[in-house]
Amino acid sequence: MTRINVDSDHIRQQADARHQRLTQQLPHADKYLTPHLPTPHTTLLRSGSLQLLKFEPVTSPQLHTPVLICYALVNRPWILDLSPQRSLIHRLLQQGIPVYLIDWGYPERCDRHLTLDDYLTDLLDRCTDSVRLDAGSNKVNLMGVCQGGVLSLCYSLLYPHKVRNLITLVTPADTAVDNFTLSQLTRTIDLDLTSRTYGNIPGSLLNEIFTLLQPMRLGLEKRIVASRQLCDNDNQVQHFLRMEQWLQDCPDLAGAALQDFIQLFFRDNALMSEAGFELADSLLKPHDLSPPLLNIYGSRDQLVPPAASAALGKLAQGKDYTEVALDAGHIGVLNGGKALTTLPPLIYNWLQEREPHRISGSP
Amino acid sequence: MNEQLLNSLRLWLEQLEQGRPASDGLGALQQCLFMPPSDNITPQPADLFYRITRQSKQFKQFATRLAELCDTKNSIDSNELITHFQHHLEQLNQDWVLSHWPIPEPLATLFAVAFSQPPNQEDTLHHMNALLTQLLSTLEPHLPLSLLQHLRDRLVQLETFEQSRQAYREQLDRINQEALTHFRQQLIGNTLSDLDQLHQLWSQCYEQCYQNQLQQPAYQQAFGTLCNAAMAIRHTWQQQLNQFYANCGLVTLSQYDELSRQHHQLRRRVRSLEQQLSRTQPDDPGCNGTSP
Repeated sequence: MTRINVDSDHIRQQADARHQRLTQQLPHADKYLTPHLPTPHTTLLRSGSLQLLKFEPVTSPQLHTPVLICYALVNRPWILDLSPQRSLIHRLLQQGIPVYLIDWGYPERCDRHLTLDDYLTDLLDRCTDSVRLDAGSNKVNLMGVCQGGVLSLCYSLLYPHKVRNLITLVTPADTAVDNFTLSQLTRTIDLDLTSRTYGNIPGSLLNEIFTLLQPMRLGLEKRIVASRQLCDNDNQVQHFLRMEQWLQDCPDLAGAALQDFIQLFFRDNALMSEAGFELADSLLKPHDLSPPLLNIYGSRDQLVPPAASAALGKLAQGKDYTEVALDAGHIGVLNGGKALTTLPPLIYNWLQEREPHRISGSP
Repeated sequence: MNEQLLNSLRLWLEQLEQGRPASDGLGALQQCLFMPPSDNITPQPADLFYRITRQSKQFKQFATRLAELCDTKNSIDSNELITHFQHHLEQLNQDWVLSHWPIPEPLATLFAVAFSQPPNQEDTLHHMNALLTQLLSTLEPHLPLSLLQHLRDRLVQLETFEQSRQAYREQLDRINQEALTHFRQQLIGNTLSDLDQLHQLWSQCYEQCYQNQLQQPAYQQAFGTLCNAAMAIRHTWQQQLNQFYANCGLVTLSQYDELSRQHHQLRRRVRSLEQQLSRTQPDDPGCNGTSP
């Protein structure tokens, strides 16, 4: 018979102390729920629920070509501008990079018929043109985040003449890698039935599926950490609650576009296809990708495994390709302390080296 | 914080601390938490607080139970610990499956109205299916064939959902078993002195087994079958509602969707024409010619 030693006094004290602190802290938790304060911006374009945001510079511009951020259709882009202290957008502006952001908004029932083709050739293309016109630049530096990275890759294949450089953040390219859980979970789901049943796929359902990727870590363990953080200092509590708000702010997904996306990029693994794939009435060959590519991913990413992102290197063999693996998870790359210190100067330097004409006075 | 929610939380916590049955406080708290959100509090943190407080209570209970199971030398039989933990996990599993895969909404509403009780009891669906089967066989001689077939199809859908939910739960039970074996191996030789670490160790063991299982075709099939079964019921229900609305002369969601589809096609046509037009113009609209 095997016996396990237990420090029962310590365990009991720990549970009591935690419970007592929570009891004191929770009734005051609402004071941390302050409104989200985004970096100052104007809206350059509206179309349906989409908004194209232009951020006000915080220093003199050091790059002529603007960065257009194409966020994923899943979740909301304000993770890139969570708070003044945790804002990738603000840090990019501090580098003198002109920044624009596509906020896809919240699709409504009538948007259920929007396809990937519409997102690429209508919405994203109109945003790109608006930015080019506004910035007086014939090309943009396109920065795609996660699923937005896939859209950006496709867009760069469709409209190479409008994209100077491409930056992908935590972007899945090879979805057939062993540990790509999300792709595996959706493998046997009837996509046609999904679209017919829901129209737009509810954000809450997507959130459930994300939780299913690591049920114990995102359930039990998260609440353990939460109960510790809620007993911690004010900044920790505020950041924790803000993150929680963001995580729950999950818009519905246009049904037809999601169906296209899963079929093409999960089931057909289209970005790895030598022969290419059909999209927007075109045959897109990933190996034809022409803009210089900076591929950034997290070495501890559980949602998009590093190997899935790093596979982009295969597409860019022999081309101008830079790969950066950060010691971070999926969200950590977008919002973590280390990433916010490392990435903005790295992105600036990479872009600046590829800028055709330097702005006078730039470093 | 919403005053009512605050009071409910206090009441509930007081009852827990005093070791009294907390059903009144819990009921009031649940009522508050599931009310439509007011301007004062967003539902997400409220839900999280509720879960954290519940977990904190479970930790307290677990710690107390552990202390009771220890002998005078402060050690515990590993089998006893695992059995205790396993029981705790089975409850978690059941809560998890039932909360993530409830009876599809429309039916849940129907059950709540018909039985005046929450429909998330594990056997509710089973009883309901048995009752419907019996009812159908009684009514069979009196129903038109088409209606009979329709009802039979619906019953098959419900049975499929029930079976697929059970099959999925079996997958989760299997993961639990493997994770527990792994967990036990990790525990032996260590002194258990921190609840957080204990749960984190469990979480690591579980995730490892879960990730392995998730890559098995059997798990993926069970998951997909359950999703599809739930959606099939929901879809059929929506079709019934559409039929009902149409019979009442109301615009149905399907008709609205069809109008949206036509509108979408028109937008695409306009876009195509705009693109054709732009090709006839010499300058690229995005480039003003002043920059590289």
